[in-house]
Amino acid sequence: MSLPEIPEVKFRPTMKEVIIDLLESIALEEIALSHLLNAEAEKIQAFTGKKLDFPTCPSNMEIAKFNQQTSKFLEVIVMKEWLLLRKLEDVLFLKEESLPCSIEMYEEE
Amino acid sequence: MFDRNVRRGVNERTCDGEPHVSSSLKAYTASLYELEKTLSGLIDSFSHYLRALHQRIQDQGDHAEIVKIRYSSMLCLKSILCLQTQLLKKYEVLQDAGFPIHHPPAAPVFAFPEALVLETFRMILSHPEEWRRIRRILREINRYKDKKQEIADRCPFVPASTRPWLNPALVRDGHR
Repeated sequence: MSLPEIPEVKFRPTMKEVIIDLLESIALEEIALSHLLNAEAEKIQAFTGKKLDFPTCPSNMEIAKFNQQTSKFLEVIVMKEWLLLRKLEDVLFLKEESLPCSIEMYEEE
Repeated sequence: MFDRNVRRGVNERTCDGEPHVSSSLKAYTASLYELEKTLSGLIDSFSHYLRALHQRIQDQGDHAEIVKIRYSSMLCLKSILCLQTQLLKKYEVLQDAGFPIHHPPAAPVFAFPEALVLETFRMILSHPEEWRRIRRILREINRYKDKKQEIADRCPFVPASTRPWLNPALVRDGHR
């Protein structure tokens, strides 16, 4: 059993920069999910049609399949959102724990 | 376009050239507003879809196959409610972290047409207990604005000092 060898890097980010990067990653993921939700909403609109007449003339089976796909898609988004919520809570906890004094104080020593 | 705005907000720096956590939290809140807006759009599309389904069932009369969608439709409504709950939870986390949220007047109002959706579901669901469940979900979805307002009106949480008799300056000197 050997320890992993981590290469030495000249620049290591500070805790504050790490927190900002993590928040940035969460915000960008939220935006990505909102783009996906928007695409799904447009897909539903296209399937339904402006006159609410299902312009592609789908059979009842096809409508049932479409419904199931939408439901599955939303479930996936919900799961992803739970992960992001957990990540946000952890980042804010990290911010509370680290930023005010403890790290900076010990770094001075 | 919006991604770039978020990035710019997150990378905003203070006068001394250092990035600021509060500006990144602000950008994060902007991304939540965007998500809220698209969720509202999705609800609109889904209610149009249910309206079209309602028309189709009325026109065709026979809806033996359409009935197969009952559980997936219920799941869709539950997922929408779940997404709303997650959004509210995120706002709550931000509020508790001392970053107050606002409910701007232009914010989307989630409004499912309750009567129409219930009528559609009455055609595809047979048990009154299921109708009642759908009704509860719809009411929860439509109460989103009030729930968010409750969070926004709440005073920020201030933790009580567990050892108020100790002078923090003295403790810090002791460490050194």
